[in-house]
Amino acid sequence: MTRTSRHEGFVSFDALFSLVPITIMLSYSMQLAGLETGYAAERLAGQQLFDKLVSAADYTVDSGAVVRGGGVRYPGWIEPGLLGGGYTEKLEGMEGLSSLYIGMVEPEGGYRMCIYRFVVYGAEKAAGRLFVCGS
Amino acid sequence: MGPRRPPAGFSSAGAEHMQTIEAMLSLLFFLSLSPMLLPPEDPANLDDSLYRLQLAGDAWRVLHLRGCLRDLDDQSRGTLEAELGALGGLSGLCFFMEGIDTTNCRSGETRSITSSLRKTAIYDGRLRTIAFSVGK
Repeated sequence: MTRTSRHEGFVSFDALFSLVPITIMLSYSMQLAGLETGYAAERLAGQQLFDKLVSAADYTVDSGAVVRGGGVRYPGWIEPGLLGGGYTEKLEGMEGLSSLYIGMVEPEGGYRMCIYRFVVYGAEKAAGRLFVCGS
Repeated sequence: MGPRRPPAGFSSAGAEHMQTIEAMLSLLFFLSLSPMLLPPEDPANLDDSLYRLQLAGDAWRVLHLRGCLRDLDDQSRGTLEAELGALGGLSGLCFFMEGIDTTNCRSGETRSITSSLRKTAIYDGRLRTIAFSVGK
């Protein structure tokens, strides 16, 4: 038997030793890629929630809960009484949110995100903020 | 003496291939470390450009609905600043009306303007363009 026939084949000691660090590096890179994907998904979810709250607030301030009279609606002039009676629940379902709050008083907590819009309310058109919070 | 043979147990072409692959994977590995070396991205870094414009429009509309933009002149600027002060008290924001030099934040501190609208109002009986800005 010749020497060369004993050492045929691609697999050598060098290749065997190289496989260990290569495997470790590949494993780490895949874990990092998974982490980055998770962060990106979280950022996207936050942006989606924010956009939904902005949309709900815009509808409420422009049309949904505004004072109406004589066939005219007054954007920016809120009728607080219109915010009850299932209004918020209806918007919550339409926006696909798990919870939604719309009111003139800032809630204590329990919502992932809150925004507000400047409005006037009441017969005196007092200046105030309309809070829209959701999760 | 014949040509040199590679040492026993080693395939030179295979070793070169493995070294190239190792070098490429090492480069990929160090590149993957770069997100850890960069400053962490603020998770609350939302795109709120539309919302900021809406807030500025809301503030202008509140002034309009409360009649503060009617018959504007030098005497009514005080009332206007009081209204802006009320809005600023609710939100902590600063409002600037360039063109008629009216604001609720005159402390002289540097403010960052978050949004700005171009509006037209009647001032002293004449049309005047006002840059209505909101800042922090």
